[in-house]
Amino acid sequence: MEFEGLPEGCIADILSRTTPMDACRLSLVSKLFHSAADSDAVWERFLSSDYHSIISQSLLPNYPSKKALYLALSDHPVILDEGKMSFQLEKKSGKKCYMLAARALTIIWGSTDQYWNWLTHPDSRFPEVATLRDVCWLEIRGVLKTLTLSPDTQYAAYFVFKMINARGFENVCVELSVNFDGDHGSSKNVCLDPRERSRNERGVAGLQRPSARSDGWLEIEMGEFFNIGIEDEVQMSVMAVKDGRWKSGLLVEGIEVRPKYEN
Amino acid sequence: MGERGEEWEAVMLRKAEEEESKAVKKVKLVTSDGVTMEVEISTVKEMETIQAFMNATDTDNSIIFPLPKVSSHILSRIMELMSGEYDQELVKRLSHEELKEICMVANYLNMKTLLHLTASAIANLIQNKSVEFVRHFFNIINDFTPEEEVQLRKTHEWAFEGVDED
Repeated sequence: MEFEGLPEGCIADILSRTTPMDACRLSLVSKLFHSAADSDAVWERFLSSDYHSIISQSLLPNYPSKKALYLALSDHPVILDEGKMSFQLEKKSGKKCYMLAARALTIIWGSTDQYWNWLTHPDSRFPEVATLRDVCWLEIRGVLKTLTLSPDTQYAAYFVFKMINARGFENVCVELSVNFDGDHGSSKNVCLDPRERSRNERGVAGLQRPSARSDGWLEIEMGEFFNIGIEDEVQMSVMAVKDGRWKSGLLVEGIEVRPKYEN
Repeated sequence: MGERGEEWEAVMLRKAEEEESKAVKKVKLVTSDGVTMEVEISTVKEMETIQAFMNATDTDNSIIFPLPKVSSHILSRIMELMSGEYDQELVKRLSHEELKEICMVANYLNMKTLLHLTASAIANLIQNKSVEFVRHFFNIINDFTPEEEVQLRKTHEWAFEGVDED
């Protein structure tokens, strides 16, 4: 028998088992595919099953379709927990991403005006960012429950910050760690100073440096972990406590946890 | 044994016969190439479209259900998959043509397990593939105008990065 072609419902069923990226690209196959690829049945599956409860606390406009809602959630982070956290979907896969705002982190000396200040910043998605006035003990810690993340997914944590008239970070090793499930984890030394200086690279030559994000901030990978989807915590930290140098001019936006793919 | 006893025996016999006829009751499926296949009532339970028809038509006679869109080849493949308890290995051995046809039939007959299995298998085959590859895979003719296609591609530019080569 000549194959007549699949009905729209069948195509939608198949597309809902691919990825958001596939469904968008394959909407170009034909008009029938386009209609199937835009259907709510497909995008309801791509939106994580608990998205209702996650975004219920934020005031989102009514989107005309599930696809429009998906694209909005992947293009713009939603601010949760009174500005202490943001939620977003990774556009290609629909996996969940979170950013812990500086206010959700434990910052040693963070509540002492003499050392840290809390300011608004035009580039920030959050109401406040932490601004370092002066410390020689730099310690920032964040914790995220792994159940809030997508299961069976390789994630990485990123420290998101800016340097404005910064002092004390040149030639200084900063230790970044990611720990989960008791003692599984990793730590590494990086240099948070984005500028490579030709002279005096002693101690930090060859160390990883931050890169620029599209939102105006810098980021540096802190480490990665595989989330199998059981109840657990990821503990992330930024530490510079051994060099004894006074540091200033660091603006902390937060720590972002998002999927990481092999290139 | 008196008259009453014989009567009672006859009732029990009739009951047993009824039970038996219920147990072996079969459904005849007539395929597009005119082949009649007798299948067990238990098989039909998974074909929700036919089951709904049977529930609606209360008949004692054997049921004949025409399947004008299903060939005998595809129907026997479906029977193999069902008796093999939907083994993934059996699915892997299907040709692309068979896979597409079985998916279509599973959709038409509302066979949930079979639809899930074949739709997932097809999804794996088209994931990260180009638009041209998928048109070819499904034998689909592009019915967009060049302008429409350019416009759609522009809207979904991000979805075209890192696609597999055909």
